[in-house]
Amino acid sequence: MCSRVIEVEQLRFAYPGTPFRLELNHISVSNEENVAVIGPSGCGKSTLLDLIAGIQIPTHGTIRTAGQNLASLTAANRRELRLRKIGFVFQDFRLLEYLSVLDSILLPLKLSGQRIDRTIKKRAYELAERAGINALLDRRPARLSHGERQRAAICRALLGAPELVLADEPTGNLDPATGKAILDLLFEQAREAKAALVMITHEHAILPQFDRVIDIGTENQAVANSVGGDAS
Amino acid sequence: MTLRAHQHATGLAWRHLCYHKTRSTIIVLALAVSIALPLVMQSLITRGEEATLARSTETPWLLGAPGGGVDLVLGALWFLPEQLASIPMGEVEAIHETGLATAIPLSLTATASRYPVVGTDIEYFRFRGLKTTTGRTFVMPGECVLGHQVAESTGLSSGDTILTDPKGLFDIGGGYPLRLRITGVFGPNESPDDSAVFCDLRTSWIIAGHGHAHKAVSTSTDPNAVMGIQDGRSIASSAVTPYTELTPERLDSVHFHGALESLPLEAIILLPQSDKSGTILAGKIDRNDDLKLVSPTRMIREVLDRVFRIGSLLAGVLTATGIATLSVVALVLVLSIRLRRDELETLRRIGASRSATATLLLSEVCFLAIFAVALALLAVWASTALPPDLVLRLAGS
Repeated sequence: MCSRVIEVEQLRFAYPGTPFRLELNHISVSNEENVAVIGPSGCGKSTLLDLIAGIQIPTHGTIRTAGQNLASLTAANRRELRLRKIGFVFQDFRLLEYLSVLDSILLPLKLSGQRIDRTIKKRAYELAERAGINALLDRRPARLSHGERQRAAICRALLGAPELVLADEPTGNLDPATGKAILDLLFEQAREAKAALVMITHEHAILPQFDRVIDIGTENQAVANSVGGDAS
Repeated sequence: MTLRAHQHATGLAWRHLCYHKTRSTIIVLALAVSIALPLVMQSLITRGEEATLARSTETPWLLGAPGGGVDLVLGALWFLPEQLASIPMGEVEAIHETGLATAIPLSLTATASRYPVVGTDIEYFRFRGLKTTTGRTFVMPGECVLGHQVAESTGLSSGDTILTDPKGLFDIGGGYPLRLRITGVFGPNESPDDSAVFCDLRTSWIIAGHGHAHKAVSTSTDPNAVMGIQDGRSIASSAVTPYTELTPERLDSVHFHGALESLPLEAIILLPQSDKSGTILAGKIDRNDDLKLVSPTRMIREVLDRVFRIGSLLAGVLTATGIATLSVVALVLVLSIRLRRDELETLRRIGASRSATATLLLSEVCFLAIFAVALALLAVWASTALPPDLVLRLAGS
């Protein structure tokens, strides 16, 4: 059954004291859909992900994430939503240096107060095995390659069976071969988790692998108007 | 946020501290030292004060030659090597004759293996509660009993001998070192008595050169040994060397240069029969310009007031230093939170609640504080376990 995981309507956002503006009329992402977000640097791709995750609050408009209208949620509820419904994959991995791979994978569930029982650990082992890092579970990030770190980060994002995975240039710090492997893993894991995947990328070569591409450079009315104004 | 989430956050804090072992250890040590130093200092001062006063309160009065009362107390109670003027032995008999107090003589001029040699009588041991754990007390000149600490550190025991130290290498007129036979060792007393060698007064005087024993001097056996004859008695020349060890066979030849009543004592411990007796005796002695009566408790209180006022000042300085150290540690923690901005941002993005993040940071501070306080308490406890004698040395009294 197809349902909307993300619905953005008449979004307006600006960072106070900066000329940056993000104006999007409508964006929606269905569950199990893979969407690439592209656009030139500074057009608002990462900001869009932050808005969808409830990290930033729009000045105007509606954002519904995983069925929740973010405007109606408190800051604590939005954190709870991120913890339980959204998985994050960052360009710079963002693994905590003092945690082993296993503890890193379990981190979101621990922070949400879940009891780490045998079932959860088994799922973590299975995810790690599928990601090819099951032999590295005791290692800390300092002793992992970049590719291994990103695999661990993907496992961390997916262990809680999120409805939505937000990935901000996950292959940006990786060599092409490792980047491709990571991308394949991300697609595969998101598909198995039945999660929608929204990924920012600058690599146009991989765009055919996505169900849909959103070009913020075009969609952002503020950028479009600014370009139009300059042209005129 | 659930209790379990807080538990997990606490677990994260613990892992973070373990990962940064060196940093955590340094902070714990710095905190522990700043907490412990003022406490240990205060504890040492208090215990030092108590130990010092205990020794002095046990001793109601001290009689000595006019001069520094503090020197008299330190010399007679702690056997510190103060140069004390002497009073004649006859004062002991004079006090006994009044029937107002018991007088315990102390001769404090010699050392053996650098430990003070205390010439006294058996009454002293009863008064201080000293009992031999091996052997017996001395019964004749040339014998001695070791304090517990002396026996432990020198490894000597009953049946061994100990040589007294010469006064000075170039003191050719001084007495010869005397080999003392050890007849017993006292049990631990946790007082300066543990670090002393006890002998009878005659032995002490012989060591000091006021008497000696040597071969019988006769012109028929060695003409050079006799310097002259006075009143029918031979006067020995310097060619006659005294015995360096007194054996039972040589005791007959022990003689002193002068009457025993005139031989010197450095102090007399007075134990009045009652408060009234003490007051009467004090009045009598007060009229004698050649004697000085000192109440060790009063004297030591005066000294302690000065010494420990400095100690209190030091404790204040240490407290200020501790506060400064705590401020530095607080600054380190604040800076470390700044350094962890990326980590905290990651936690925020993932969805960690504010309380989870606060628990993480506070738990770290709590862990550090708990370990520091535990270490500090351990140090304070260790300082309370120190023997009083060492406490006195550490407290600087």
